[in-house]
Amino acid sequence: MADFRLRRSLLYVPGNMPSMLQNIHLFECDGVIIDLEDAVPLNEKDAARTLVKRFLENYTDRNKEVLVRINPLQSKWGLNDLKEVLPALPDGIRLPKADTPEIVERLDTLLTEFEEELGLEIGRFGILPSIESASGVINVIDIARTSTRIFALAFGAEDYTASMEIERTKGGEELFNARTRVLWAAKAVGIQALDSIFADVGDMEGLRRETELIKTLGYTGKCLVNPRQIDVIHEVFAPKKEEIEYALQVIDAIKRARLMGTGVISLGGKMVDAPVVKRAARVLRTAHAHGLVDDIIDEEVIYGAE
Amino acid sequence: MDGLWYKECRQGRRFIIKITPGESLTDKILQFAYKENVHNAVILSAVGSVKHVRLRGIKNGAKLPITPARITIHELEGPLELLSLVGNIFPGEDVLLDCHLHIMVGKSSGEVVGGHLFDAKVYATCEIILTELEVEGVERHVSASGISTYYINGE
Repeated sequence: MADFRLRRSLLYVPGNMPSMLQNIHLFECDGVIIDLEDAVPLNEKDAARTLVKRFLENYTDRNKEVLVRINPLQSKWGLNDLKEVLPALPDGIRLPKADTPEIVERLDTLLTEFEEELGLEIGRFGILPSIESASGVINVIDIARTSTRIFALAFGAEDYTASMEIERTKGGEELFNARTRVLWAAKAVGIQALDSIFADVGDMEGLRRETELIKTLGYTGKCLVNPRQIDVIHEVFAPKKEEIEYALQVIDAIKRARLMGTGVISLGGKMVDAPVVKRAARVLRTAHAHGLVDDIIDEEVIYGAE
Repeated sequence: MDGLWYKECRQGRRFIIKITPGESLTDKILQFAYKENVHNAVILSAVGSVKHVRLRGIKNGAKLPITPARITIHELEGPLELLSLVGNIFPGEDVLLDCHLHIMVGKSSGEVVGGHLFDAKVYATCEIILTELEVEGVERHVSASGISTYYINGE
Protein backbone atom coordinates (compact mmCIF):
# COMPACT_ATOMS: atom_id res chain seq x y z
CA MET A 1 0.00 0.00 0.00
CA ALA A 2 2.92 2.28 0.73
CA ASP A 3 3.88 2.44 -2.94
CA PHE A 4 0.36 3.26 -4.11
CA ARG A 5 0.69 6.12 -6.55
CA LEU A 6 -2.16 7.78 -8.38
CA ARG A 7 -1.77 7.45 -12.12
CA ARG A 8 -5.24 8.40 -13.28
CA SER A 9 -3.99 10.68 -16.01
CA LEU A 10 -0.74 10.50 -17.96
CA LEU A 11 -0.56 13.35 -20.44
CA TYR A 12 1.49 13.02 -23.63
CA VAL A 13 3.64 16.05 -24.27
CA PRO A 14 5.46 16.22 -27.62
CA GLY A 15 9.21 16.34 -27.06
CA ASN A 16 9.72 18.84 -29.86
CA MET A 17 7.39 21.54 -28.51
CA PRO A 18 9.11 23.86 -26.02
CA SER A 19 5.86 25.71 -25.24
CA MET A 20 4.17 22.49 -24.09
CA LEU A 21 7.22 21.30 -22.17
CA GLN A 22 7.41 24.57 -20.27
CA ASN A 23 3.82 24.21 -19.14
CA ILE A 24 4.27 20.72 -17.71
CA HIS A 25 4.45 21.97 -14.14
CA LEU A 26 1.07 23.71 -14.62
CA PHE A 27 -0.90 20.70 -15.84
CA GLU A 28 -2.94 19.01 -13.14
CA CYS A 29 -2.44 15.50 -14.42
CA ASP A 30 -0.79 12.83 -12.29
CA GLY A 31 2.05 12.38 -14.73
CA VAL A 32 3.40 13.26 -18.13
CA ILE A 33 4.87 11.17 -20.90
CA ILE A 34 7.28 13.30 -22.86
CA ASP A 35 7.19 11.86 -26.33
CA LEU A 36 10.21 11.32 -28.52
CA GLU A 37 8.46 8.74 -30.68
CA ASP A 38 5.34 9.30 -32.77
CA ALA A 39 4.91 13.01 -32.00
CA VAL A 40 8.36 13.87 -33.29
CA PRO A 41 9.04 13.98 -37.06
CA LEU A 42 12.08 12.05 -38.25
CA ASN A 43 14.07 15.18 -39.05
CA GLU A 44 13.59 16.49 -35.50
CA LYS A 45 14.56 13.39 -33.52
CA ASP A 46 18.02 14.65 -32.54
CA ALA A 47 16.88 18.17 -31.69
CA ALA A 48 13.91 16.91 -29.66
CA ARG A 49 15.95 14.67 -27.39
CA THR A 50 18.36 17.52 -26.65
CA LEU A 51 15.40 19.77 -25.91
CA VAL A 52 13.88 17.18 -23.56
CA LYS A 53 17.19 16.68 -21.80
CA ARG A 54 17.53 20.44 -21.18
CA PHE A 55 13.95 20.68 -20.03
CA LEU A 56 14.37 17.83 -17.53
CA GLU A 57 17.60 19.31 -16.19
CA ASN A 58 15.80 22.57 -15.45
CA TYR A 59 12.60 20.97 -14.13
CA THR A 60 14.08 20.43 -10.71
CA ASP A 61 10.97 21.14 -8.70
CA ARG A 62 9.09 18.08 -9.96
CA ASN A 63 5.41 18.07 -9.08
CA LYS A 64 4.32 15.02 -11.03
CA GLU A 65 5.66 11.75 -12.39
CA VAL A 66 7.77 12.28 -15.51
CA LEU A 67 8.18 9.52 -18.06
CA VAL A 68 9.85 9.69 -21.44
CA ARG A 69 8.57 7.69 -24.39
CA ILE A 70 11.67 6.77 -26.29
CA ASN A 71 11.74 5.48 -29.83
CA PRO A 72 11.61 1.68 -30.09
CA LEU A 73 14.85 0.01 -29.04
CA GLN A 74 14.89 -1.70 -32.43
CA SER A 75 15.04 1.71 -34.14
CA LYS A 76 18.20 3.72 -34.73
CA TRP A 77 17.09 6.37 -32.22
CA GLY A 78 16.09 4.33 -29.15
CA LEU A 79 19.51 3.90 -27.59
CA ASN A 80 20.51 7.52 -28.21
CA ASP A 81 17.27 8.64 -26.59
CA LEU A 82 18.27 6.79 -23.43
CA LYS A 83 21.84 8.15 -23.50
CA GLU A 84 20.59 11.67 -23.73
CA VAL A 85 17.65 11.75 -21.34
CA LEU A 86 18.60 9.35 -18.52
CA PRO A 87 21.27 11.64 -17.01
CA ALA A 88 18.50 14.23 -16.65
CA LEU A 89 16.64 11.76 -14.41
CA PRO A 90 13.13 11.04 -15.64
CA ASP A 91 11.18 8.71 -13.32
CA GLY A 92 10.89 6.09 -15.99
CA ILE A 93 10.76 5.10 -19.62
CA ARG A 94 7.70 4.29 -21.65
CA LEU A 95 8.81 1.58 -24.04
CA PRO A 96 6.86 1.53 -27.31
CA LYS A 97 6.41 -1.72 -29.22
CA ALA A 98 7.00 -3.80 -26.10
CA ASP A 99 6.03 -6.89 -28.06
CA THR A 100 8.17 -9.52 -26.32
CA PRO A 101 9.65 -10.16 -22.86
CA GLU A 102 13.09 -10.06 -24.47
CA ILE A 103 12.81 -6.46 -25.65
CA VAL A 104 11.61 -5.31 -22.23
CA GLU A 105 14.46 -7.23 -20.61
CA ARG A 106 16.82 -5.49 -23.04
CA LEU A 107 15.63 -2.14 -21.72
CA ASP A 108 15.96 -3.41 -18.15
CA THR A 109 19.60 -4.38 -18.66
CA LEU A 110 20.35 -1.10 -20.44
CA LEU A 111 18.85 0.87 -17.55
CA THR A 112 21.05 -1.11 -15.15
CA GLU A 113 24.11 -0.10 -17.17
CA PHE A 114 23.13 3.58 -17.15
CA GLU A 115 22.41 3.49 -13.41
CA GLU A 116 25.85 2.01 -12.79
CA GLU A 117 27.48 4.62 -15.00
CA LEU A 118 25.56 7.48 -13.38
CA GLY A 119 26.12 6.16 -9.85
CA LEU A 120 22.39 5.76 -9.22
CA GLU A 121 20.57 3.16 -7.19
CA ILE A 122 19.87 0.06 -9.31
CA GLY A 123 16.18 0.05 -10.13
CA ARG A 124 15.76 3.84 -9.97
CA PHE A 125 14.32 4.08 -13.49
CA GLY A 126 10.92 2.48 -13.96
CA ILE A 127 9.54 0.85 -17.10
CA LEU A 128 6.10 1.33 -18.58
CA PRO A 129 5.78 -1.15 -21.47
CA SER A 130 3.34 -0.26 -24.24
CA ILE A 131 1.25 -3.25 -25.19
CA GLU A 132 0.18 -2.17 -28.63
CA SER A 133 0.28 -5.07 -31.08
CA ALA A 134 -1.13 -8.54 -31.45
CA SER A 135 2.25 -9.94 -30.35
CA GLY A 136 2.32 -7.66 -27.32
CA VAL A 137 -1.14 -8.78 -26.26
CA ILE A 138 -0.22 -12.44 -26.68
CA ASN A 139 3.03 -12.04 -24.71
CA VAL A 140 1.78 -9.58 -22.10
CA ILE A 141 1.61 -12.10 -19.27
CA ASP A 142 5.31 -12.93 -19.65
CA ILE A 143 6.17 -9.28 -20.28
CA ALA A 144 4.62 -8.22 -16.97
CA ARG A 145 6.92 -10.61 -15.09
CA THR A 146 10.08 -9.55 -16.90
CA SER A 147 11.36 -6.92 -14.52
CA THR A 148 10.63 -5.46 -11.11
CA ARG A 149 11.06 -2.04 -12.75
CA ILE A 150 7.65 -2.41 -14.42
CA PHE A 151 5.18 -0.40 -12.33
CA ALA A 152 2.27 -0.60 -14.79
CA LEU A 153 1.28 -1.88 -18.20
CA ALA A 154 -0.01 0.57 -20.78
CA PHE A 155 -2.43 -0.52 -23.46
CA GLY A 156 -2.03 1.33 -26.76
CA ALA A 157 -5.23 1.04 -28.77
CA GLU A 158 -4.18 3.08 -31.79
CA ASP A 159 -1.18 0.94 -32.69
CA TYR A 160 -3.01 -2.21 -31.61
CA THR A 161 -5.90 -1.62 -34.03
CA ALA A 162 -3.39 -0.76 -36.74
CA SER A 163 -1.54 -4.03 -36.14
CA MET A 164 -4.86 -5.87 -36.28
CA GLU A 165 -5.86 -4.04 -39.47
CA ILE A 166 -9.15 -2.98 -37.90
CA GLU A 167 -10.87 0.32 -37.19
CA ARG A 168 -10.69 1.91 -33.76
CA THR A 169 -14.27 2.69 -32.80
CA LYS A 170 -15.55 4.91 -30.03
CA GLY A 171 -17.49 2.05 -28.50
CA GLY A 172 -14.26 0.07 -28.23
CA GLU A 173 -15.88 -3.36 -28.72
CA GLU A 174 -12.92 -4.40 -30.86
CA LEU A 175 -10.57 -3.73 -27.93
CA PHE A 176 -12.35 -5.74 -25.28
CA ASN A 177 -10.28 -8.93 -25.31
CA ALA A 178 -6.95 -7.14 -25.57
CA ARG A 179 -7.85 -4.69 -22.80
CA THR A 180 -8.89 -7.54 -20.54
CA ARG A 181 -5.75 -9.56 -21.19
CA VAL A 182 -3.53 -6.58 -20.35
CA LEU A 183 -5.51 -6.16 -17.13
CA TRP A 184 -5.12 -9.82 -16.17
CA ALA A 185 -1.38 -9.60 -16.67
CA ALA A 186 -1.12 -6.45 -14.58
CA LYS A 187 -3.31 -7.71 -11.75
CA ALA A 188 -1.56 -11.08 -11.69
CA VAL A 189 1.73 -9.40 -10.80
CA GLY A 190 0.18 -6.65 -8.68
CA ILE A 191 0.88 -3.62 -10.87
CA GLN A 192 -1.35 -0.97 -12.42
CA ALA A 193 -2.98 -1.04 -15.84
CA LEU A 194 -3.25 2.19 -17.82
CA ASP A 195 -5.54 2.60 -20.77
CA SER A 196 -4.98 4.08 -24.18
CA ILE A 197 -5.60 7.66 -25.31
CA PHE A 198 -8.97 8.93 -26.50
CA ALA A 199 -8.07 10.78 -29.66
CA ASP A 200 -11.18 12.94 -30.22
CA VAL A 201 -10.39 15.94 -28.04
CA GLY A 202 -13.72 17.57 -28.83
CA ASP A 203 -15.84 14.65 -27.63
CA MET A 204 -15.90 14.91 -23.84
CA GLU A 205 -18.92 12.62 -23.51
CA GLY A 206 -17.15 9.94 -25.52
CA LEU A 207 -14.09 10.35 -23.31
CA ARG A 208 -16.25 10.05 -20.19
CA ARG A 209 -17.95 6.89 -21.48
CA GLU A 210 -14.64 5.26 -22.37
CA THR A 211 -13.07 6.21 -19.04
CA GLU A 212 -16.07 4.82 -17.16
CA LEU A 213 -15.79 1.60 -19.16
CA ILE A 214 -12.10 1.09 -18.45
CA LYS A 215 -12.53 2.00 -14.77
CA THR A 216 -15.25 -0.64 -14.54
CA LEU A 217 -12.92 -3.20 -16.13
CA GLY A 218 -10.21 -2.44 -13.58
CA TYR A 219 -7.87 0.08 -15.18
CA THR A 220 -6.49 2.64 -12.73
CA GLY A 221 -5.63 5.34 -15.23
CA LYS A 222 -5.64 6.57 -18.77
CA CYS A 223 -3.25 8.29 -21.12
CA LEU A 224 -4.37 11.49 -22.76
CA VAL A 225 -3.37 13.81 -25.53
CA ASN A 226 -4.80 17.13 -24.39
CA PRO A 227 -4.82 18.84 -20.97
CA ARG A 228 -8.52 19.59 -21.42
CA GLN A 229 -9.20 15.87 -20.95
CA ILE A 230 -7.70 15.79 -17.43
CA ASP A 231 -10.79 16.95 -15.51
CA VAL A 232 -13.14 14.38 -17.05
CA ILE A 233 -10.72 11.56 -16.29
CA HIS A 234 -10.21 12.67 -12.68
CA GLU A 235 -13.95 13.04 -12.18
CA VAL A 236 -14.55 9.50 -13.37
CA PHE A 237 -11.77 8.01 -11.25
CA ALA A 238 -12.71 9.91 -8.10
CA PRO A 239 -14.75 7.66 -5.82
CA LYS A 240 -18.37 8.83 -5.64
CA LYS A 241 -19.70 10.19 -2.35
CA GLU A 242 -22.00 7.18 -1.95
CA GLU A 243 -19.10 4.79 -2.63
CA ILE A 244 -17.03 6.42 0.10
CA GLU A 245 -19.89 6.41 2.57
CA TYR A 246 -20.61 2.75 1.93
CA ALA A 247 -16.90 1.89 2.21
CA LEU A 248 -16.72 3.65 5.59
CA GLN A 249 -19.78 1.69 6.74
CA VAL A 250 -18.12 -1.55 5.63
CA ILE A 251 -14.95 -0.76 7.56
CA ASP A 252 -16.99 0.15 10.61
CA ALA A 253 -18.96 -3.09 10.32
CA ILE A 254 -15.89 -5.28 10.00
CA LYS A 255 -14.31 -3.60 13.02
CA ARG A 256 -17.43 -4.48 15.01
CA ALA A 257 -17.31 -8.02 13.65
CA ARG A 258 -13.70 -8.43 14.74
CA LEU A 259 -14.66 -7.30 18.27
CA MET A 260 -17.25 -10.07 18.25
CA GLY A 261 -14.59 -12.55 17.17
CA THR A 262 -15.83 -13.09 13.62
CA GLY A 263 -14.67 -12.07 10.15
CA VAL A 264 -18.14 -11.92 8.59
CA ILE A 265 -21.03 -9.58 9.40
CA SER A 266 -24.22 -8.40 7.75
CA LEU A 267 -24.59 -4.79 6.64
CA GLY A 268 -28.01 -3.72 5.39
CA GLY A 269 -28.83 -7.32 4.63
CA LYS A 270 -25.65 -7.92 2.63
CA MET A 271 -22.77 -10.05 3.80
CA VAL A 272 -19.53 -8.24 4.54
CA ASP A 273 -16.47 -10.48 4.39
CA ALA A 274 -12.81 -10.20 3.37
CA PRO A 275 -13.29 -9.42 -0.38
CA VAL A 276 -15.89 -6.74 0.42
CA VAL A 277 -13.57 -5.22 3.02
CA LYS A 278 -10.68 -5.25 0.56
CA ARG A 279 -12.79 -3.47 -2.04
CA ALA A 280 -13.88 -0.88 0.53
CA ALA A 281 -10.28 -0.34 1.58
CA ARG A 282 -9.33 0.24 -2.04
CA VAL A 283 -12.09 2.82 -2.45
CA LEU A 284 -10.91 4.62 0.69
CA ARG A 285 -7.29 4.45 -0.38
CA THR A 286 -8.20 6.08 -3.69
CA ALA A 287 -10.43 8.58 -1.87
CA HIS A 288 -7.52 9.43 0.42
CA ALA A 289 -5.29 10.02 -2.58
CA HIS A 290 -7.95 12.40 -3.91
CA GLY A 291 -8.02 14.19 -0.55
CA LEU A 292 -11.59 13.07 0.09
CA VAL A 293 -10.95 11.17 3.35
CA ASP A 294 -8.36 11.75 6.04
CA ASP A 295 -7.39 8.29 7.20
CA ILE A 296 -5.70 5.40 5.47
CA ILE A 297 -7.11 2.00 6.39
CA ASP A 298 -4.40 -0.17 7.88
CA GLU A 299 -3.82 -3.79 6.96
CA GLU A 300 -5.07 -5.07 10.28
CA VAL A 301 -8.56 -3.75 9.60
CA ILE A 302 -8.65 -5.66 6.32
CA TYR A 303 -7.14 -8.93 7.44
CA GLY A 304 -7.55 -8.86 11.24
CA ALA A 305 -4.73 -9.34 13.75
CA GLU A 306 -2.98 -12.71 13.98
CA MET B 1 46.04 -20.98 -28.77
CA ASP B 2 44.08 -17.78 -29.14
CA GLY B 3 40.92 -17.62 -27.07
CA LEU B 4 41.33 -21.04 -25.54
CA TRP B 5 43.33 -22.73 -22.79
CA TYR B 6 43.56 -26.44 -22.14
CA LYS B 7 45.36 -28.99 -20.13
CA GLU B 8 45.40 -32.74 -20.44
CA CYS B 9 43.99 -34.65 -17.51
CA ARG B 10 43.49 -38.30 -16.71
CA GLN B 11 40.55 -40.12 -15.30
CA GLY B 12 40.88 -41.10 -11.69
CA ARG B 13 38.43 -42.97 -9.54
CA ARG B 14 34.79 -43.31 -10.50
CA PHE B 15 32.03 -43.04 -7.92
CA ILE B 16 28.44 -44.06 -7.79
CA ILE B 17 26.64 -41.67 -5.45
CA LYS B 18 23.14 -41.63 -4.08
CA ILE B 19 21.76 -38.66 -2.16
CA THR B 20 18.79 -39.22 0.11
CA PRO B 21 15.52 -37.24 0.20
CA GLY B 22 15.61 -33.78 1.73
CA GLU B 23 19.37 -33.28 1.37
CA SER B 24 20.94 -30.34 -0.47
CA LEU B 25 22.46 -31.36 -3.80
CA THR B 26 25.37 -28.93 -3.74
CA ASP B 27 26.22 -29.43 -0.06
CA LYS B 28 26.22 -33.19 -0.35
CA ILE B 29 28.32 -33.27 -3.53
CA LEU B 30 30.94 -31.07 -1.88
CA GLN B 31 30.84 -33.04 1.39
CA PHE B 32 31.41 -36.23 -0.58
CA ALA B 33 34.39 -34.64 -2.38
CA TYR B 34 36.01 -33.57 0.89
CA LYS B 35 35.47 -36.98 2.44
CA GLU B 36 37.01 -38.86 -0.50
CA ASN B 37 39.73 -36.28 -1.06
CA VAL B 38 38.48 -35.61 -4.59
CA HIS B 39 39.95 -32.29 -5.73
CA ASN B 40 38.84 -32.27 -9.34
CA ALA B 41 35.84 -34.04 -10.80
CA VAL B 42 33.16 -34.01 -13.43
CA ILE B 43 29.57 -35.12 -13.04
CA LEU B 44 28.83 -37.61 -15.79
CA SER B 45 25.19 -38.25 -15.09
CA ALA B 46 22.49 -37.48 -12.57
CA VAL B 47 18.90 -38.66 -12.45
CA GLY B 48 16.23 -38.46 -9.82
CA SER B 49 13.85 -35.81 -8.63
CA VAL B 50 14.26 -32.54 -6.81
CA LYS B 51 12.31 -29.81 -5.03
CA HIS B 52 12.99 -26.25 -3.84
CA VAL B 53 15.13 -25.61 -6.88
CA ARG B 54 16.81 -22.21 -7.05
CA LEU B 55 18.39 -21.35 -10.37
CA ARG B 56 19.19 -18.33 -12.43
CA GLY B 57 19.04 -17.15 -16.01
CA ILE B 58 20.86 -14.21 -17.57
CA LYS B 59 18.69 -11.35 -18.79
CA ASN B 60 18.42 -10.57 -22.46
CA GLY B 61 21.05 -8.07 -23.62
CA ALA B 62 22.99 -8.16 -20.34
CA LYS B 63 26.57 -7.01 -20.56
CA LEU B 64 29.37 -8.35 -18.39
CA PRO B 65 29.99 -8.50 -15.52
CA ILE B 66 27.06 -10.61 -14.41
CA THR B 67 25.61 -8.79 -11.40
CA PRO B 68 22.37 -9.44 -9.48
CA ALA B 69 20.54 -6.84 -11.60
CA ARG B 70 21.47 -8.76 -14.75
CA ILE B 71 20.05 -12.12 -13.72
CA THR B 72 16.61 -13.49 -13.02
CA ILE B 73 16.35 -15.92 -10.15
CA HIS B 74 13.72 -18.63 -10.39
CA GLU B 75 12.50 -20.60 -7.41
CA LEU B 76 10.55 -23.74 -8.15
CA GLU B 77 8.92 -25.55 -5.30
CA GLY B 78 8.50 -28.83 -7.18
CA PRO B 79 8.82 -31.73 -6.95
CA LEU B 80 10.33 -31.90 -10.43
CA GLU B 81 12.06 -34.61 -12.43
CA LEU B 82 15.81 -34.14 -12.46
CA LEU B 83 16.59 -34.44 -16.18
CA SER B 84 20.14 -33.27 -16.20
CA LEU B 85 22.83 -32.04 -13.88
CA VAL B 86 26.13 -31.15 -15.47
CA GLY B 87 29.12 -29.52 -13.93
CA ASN B 88 32.46 -29.90 -12.30
CA ILE B 89 34.35 -29.56 -9.05
CA PHE B 90 37.66 -27.76 -8.73
CA PRO B 91 39.49 -26.11 -5.85
CA GLY B 92 38.32 -22.55 -5.39
CA GLU B 93 39.61 -19.64 -3.34
CA ASP B 94 41.60 -20.73 -0.26
CA VAL B 95 41.76 -24.30 -1.61
CA LEU B 96 38.14 -24.87 -0.64
CA LEU B 97 36.35 -26.98 -3.21
CA ASP B 98 33.83 -25.26 -5.41
CA CYS B 99 31.30 -26.74 -7.80
CA HIS B 100 29.75 -25.19 -10.89
CA LEU B 101 26.49 -26.88 -11.78
CA HIS B 102 23.81 -26.37 -14.41
CA ILE B 103 20.48 -28.13 -14.09
CA MET B 104 17.48 -29.07 -16.22
CA VAL B 105 14.25 -30.08 -14.54
CA GLY B 106 10.94 -31.26 -15.95
CA LYS B 107 7.51 -30.15 -14.77
CA SER B 108 4.48 -32.47 -14.61
CA SER B 109 3.36 -30.93 -17.91
CA GLY B 110 6.58 -32.07 -19.56
CA GLU B 111 7.89 -28.54 -19.89
CA VAL B 112 11.55 -28.15 -19.08
CA VAL B 113 13.27 -25.32 -17.29
CA GLY B 114 16.90 -24.96 -16.49
CA GLY B 115 19.79 -22.71 -15.66
CA HIS B 116 22.72 -22.13 -13.37
CA LEU B 117 21.99 -24.01 -10.15
CA PHE B 118 22.26 -22.32 -6.78
CA ASP B 119 20.75 -25.22 -4.88
CA ALA B 120 18.07 -27.88 -4.83
CA LYS B 121 16.84 -30.45 -2.38
CA VAL B 122 16.54 -34.10 -3.33
CA TYR B 123 12.93 -35.23 -3.53
CA ALA B 124 12.69 -39.01 -3.97
CA THR B 125 16.24 -39.90 -4.87
CA CYS B 126 19.27 -38.63 -6.72
CA GLU B 127 21.67 -40.99 -8.47
CA ILE B 128 24.94 -39.47 -9.60
CA ILE B 129 27.89 -40.96 -11.47
CA LEU B 130 31.03 -38.91 -11.00
CA THR B 131 34.57 -39.20 -12.28
CA GLU B 132 37.60 -37.87 -10.52
CA LEU B 133 40.04 -35.99 -12.76
CA GLU B 134 43.75 -36.29 -12.13
CA VAL B 135 45.21 -32.89 -12.87
CA GLU B 136 47.08 -30.17 -11.05
CA GLY B 137 47.17 -26.43 -11.46
CA VAL B 138 43.49 -25.83 -12.12
CA GLU B 139 41.69 -23.49 -9.74
CA ARG B 140 38.37 -21.73 -9.70
CA HIS B 141 38.33 -17.95 -9.23
CA VAL B 142 35.86 -15.14 -9.79
CA SER B 143 36.65 -13.67 -13.19
CA ALA B 144 36.19 -10.17 -14.58
CA SER B 145 32.93 -11.42 -16.06
CA GLY B 146 31.52 -11.67 -12.55
CA ILE B 147 31.30 -15.44 -12.44
CA SER B 148 33.45 -18.08 -10.84
CA THR B 149 35.36 -19.95 -13.52
CA TYR B 150 38.40 -22.18 -13.53
CA TYR B 151 41.86 -20.94 -14.39
CA ILE B 152 44.42 -23.29 -15.88
CA ASN B 153 47.98 -22.92 -14.68
CA GLY B 154 50.01 -20.87 -17.14
CA GLU B 155 46.93 -19.06 -18.45
